[in-house]
Amino acid sequence: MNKASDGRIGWRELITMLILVNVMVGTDMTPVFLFKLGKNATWIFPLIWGVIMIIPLLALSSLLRLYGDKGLIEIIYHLTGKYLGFILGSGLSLIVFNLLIRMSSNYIQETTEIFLDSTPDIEVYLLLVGAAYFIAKYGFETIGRICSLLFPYIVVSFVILIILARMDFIYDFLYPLEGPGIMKIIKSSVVNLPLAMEFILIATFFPFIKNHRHYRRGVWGGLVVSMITLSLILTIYIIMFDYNQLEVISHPFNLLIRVTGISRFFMNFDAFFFAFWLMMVIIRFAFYLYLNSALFAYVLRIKEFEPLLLPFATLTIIIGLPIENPVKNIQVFKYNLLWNNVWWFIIALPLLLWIIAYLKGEFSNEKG
Amino acid sequence: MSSEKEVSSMKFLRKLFSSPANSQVSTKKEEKLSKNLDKNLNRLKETFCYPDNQDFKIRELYIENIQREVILLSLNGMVDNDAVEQHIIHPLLEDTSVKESQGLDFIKEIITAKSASKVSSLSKVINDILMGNTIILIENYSQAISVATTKFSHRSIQQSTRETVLKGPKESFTESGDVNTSLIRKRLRDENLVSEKIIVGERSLSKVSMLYIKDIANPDLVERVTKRIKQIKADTVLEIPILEQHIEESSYSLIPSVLYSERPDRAVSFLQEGHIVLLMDSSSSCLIVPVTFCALFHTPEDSYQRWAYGNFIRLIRLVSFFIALLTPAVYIAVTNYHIEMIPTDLLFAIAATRERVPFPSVVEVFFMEGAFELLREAGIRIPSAIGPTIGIVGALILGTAAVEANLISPILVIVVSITGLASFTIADDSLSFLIRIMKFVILGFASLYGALGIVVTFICFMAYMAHFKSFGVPFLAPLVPYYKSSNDLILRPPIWKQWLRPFYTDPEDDIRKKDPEEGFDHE
Repeated sequence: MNKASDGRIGWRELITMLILVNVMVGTDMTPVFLFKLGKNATWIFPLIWGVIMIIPLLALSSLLRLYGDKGLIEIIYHLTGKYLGFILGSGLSLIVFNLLIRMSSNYIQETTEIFLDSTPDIEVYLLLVGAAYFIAKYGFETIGRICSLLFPYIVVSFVILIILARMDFIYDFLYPLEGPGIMKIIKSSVVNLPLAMEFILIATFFPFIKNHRHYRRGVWGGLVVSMITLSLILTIYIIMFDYNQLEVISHPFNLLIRVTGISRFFMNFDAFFFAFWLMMVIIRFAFYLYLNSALFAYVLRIKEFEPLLLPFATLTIIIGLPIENPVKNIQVFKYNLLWNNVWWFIIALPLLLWIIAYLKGEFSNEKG
Repeated sequence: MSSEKEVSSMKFLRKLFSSPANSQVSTKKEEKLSKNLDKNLNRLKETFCYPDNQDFKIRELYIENIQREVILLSLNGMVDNDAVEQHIIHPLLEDTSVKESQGLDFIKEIITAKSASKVSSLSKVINDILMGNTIILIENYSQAISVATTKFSHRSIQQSTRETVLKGPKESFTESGDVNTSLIRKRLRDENLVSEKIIVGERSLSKVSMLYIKDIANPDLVERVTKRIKQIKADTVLEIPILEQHIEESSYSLIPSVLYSERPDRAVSFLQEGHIVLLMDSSSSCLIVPVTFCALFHTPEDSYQRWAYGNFIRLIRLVSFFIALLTPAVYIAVTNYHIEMIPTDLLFAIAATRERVPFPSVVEVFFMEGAFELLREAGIRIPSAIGPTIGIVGALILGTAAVEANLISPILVIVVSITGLASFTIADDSLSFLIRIMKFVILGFASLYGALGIVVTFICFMAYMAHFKSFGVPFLAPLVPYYKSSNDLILRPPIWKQWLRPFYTDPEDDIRKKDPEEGFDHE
């Protein structure tokens, strides 16, 4: 009955979803590895990602406009045929599944190590992935709604965090601005581009977005805001701890919330921020769980993918649980063969699709 | 030949695909009244178990002018005897202008009651008697006259007890459909205000009035609600709260999908936003559908108070919403899992008071929260004469004595009483229940996993709320998903800025008045 309650989301939901999911990168253990590469100029990384992302996103955007209500995987199949399409699609699917498992393991370790050291991993795993499953089960629309519902509160808590941490900032830590050298920064940031790959992958859900205008607004707005926010978070780490320390701190965000406090009465305010951080973790899980099931279903051309959520949630727990030692885990993950080659795949895929579409003359068809 | 075959096969197909309900109507003929007065009377006596049922009143009259016997039938206790006397019997016996040739049309001239109509089917006669009409049977006519003489006794209009306000009208609905409708029409003099009557119940008939404003309420919504009410398969639907449970779309959900109110001013304000109001003869309240979180959260006073004051009380209620939901859980989480959050001095103070308490704090909290709920329930059930006592007993025993007996620590009394106080600020009963039940769920998880438990339950609760729909309208609309509205959500703009109807009910006419920016001067 209701015009706007038909399972599709608007730009408000989309933009907040992209921001919340993407900014999480800055609050887990990834910055530790980025700081090893970028030293005190790491805050430039997200800005470079944002600039590089423009080209594939433009290509993708024009493709999505061309094909109306087709999602990313459908476009891949349409343009590259059955076999190549399957390879490309399953490549994406594998990357996301890998990320989901590594990520979940990483966050769960972080939660249990810092806050709930006596709670067994499996219970935390069940709770977090269970909550993510619960949200994802209600569909993409609900994930979007929960994001836009909680977004203002998360922003407020983030602003409070910055205000509280402000006293300890030493701005001199930012200099010299170019850090290890411009070329090195660009090179190492490009390799880590997949940390912003949500903006490409969101195209999978294009049929769930109201129209192209909402998509454009959501993705571009989300890209700008989340890259600036990520850069801000990295800057805060640098001016708070200095990059030398950051290379040995394993959980910079959790340290940040632990050292901030309100006057001498509330010295430890971290559980408050931890609650908001957990909300974002669950949202990110839900998003990736849904994305993973959707990719898998689209690649194998299964119509209904919501029944796949439960098997994937279970798989995530089963595979993710035995991974010990998160630092090693991230290291293996970041520097293995797959990850090192993901960045060009992410950039090249939209461009490749666009070129194929151009050569096939699909764009001229539309004009004619 | 072949065409005949075709026709017969068509008939067969039609028979096959027509629904059983349709075929029943076509086969079962409605019983008509006969011309024979005695036959009609006996038939009705049989229906109403006459000699046993003393409430079935039969009064025989003889009208000289037309030289016919006339019988008046009604049920005792449902009709206004004075009206029958004055508007039916008196004119019938004394008016001399009645002529034979007029037939039944003499009702036009003689019967002075507020409404009268001709009836020919027996079932309609029975229904009308049950509704409190008086039936006039006349010799040699196969039609009867049904005169509206219904009168039930009911309370007079009194002050609202559930939804009290300091500023604004005080009157509330009472147990009479007519009075309730008049309370609404008094406030809303709109020719488009429609009041549809739907009969529900298979044994005992009750009348549900569905009110909406024709050019505002969305026709799809009206149809959906009508369908929902007509679907009810029940012997009787006695009261509005029972109707509420029949029409709601998810019975097991904690979240209410219907708003229950006893204030006519509230019903009117919802009508103007394109909602539908349901009234019943026997109930002193109305149902409003569809409902959103904001509708449950608001009170009429928010709009009656000036902008700043109204927003202030809303903020207080928002805070108390979270206090009522989370305080016990946060207390448990902080004292058991995140002790470093408590300022050191306070921590020592708490530890000192807890020193002599033998139970873990989780047990204490469950004990006290349980006791509080007990007190609350007892307060409602207790006869009002001894009501004040319960407060004293409760406060004494559960507060001071429990602390002195080392059952609980003093800080817990503060936690529980502030939670209870906060839960009383939630205006709507259903929302209050929702919070009270969720409080225990969140408390349980918090005692197991600390902040993690709170977050997990809270976010799942939020997701469920975001997903929930009441008659097709998202529960958290227009917040998420976003709809254009007057932004009367948690806070509200000044009244003159509220010129849009909320779009989530998909109203036919979106705009209340012109954009004020163009019109008046406001500073």
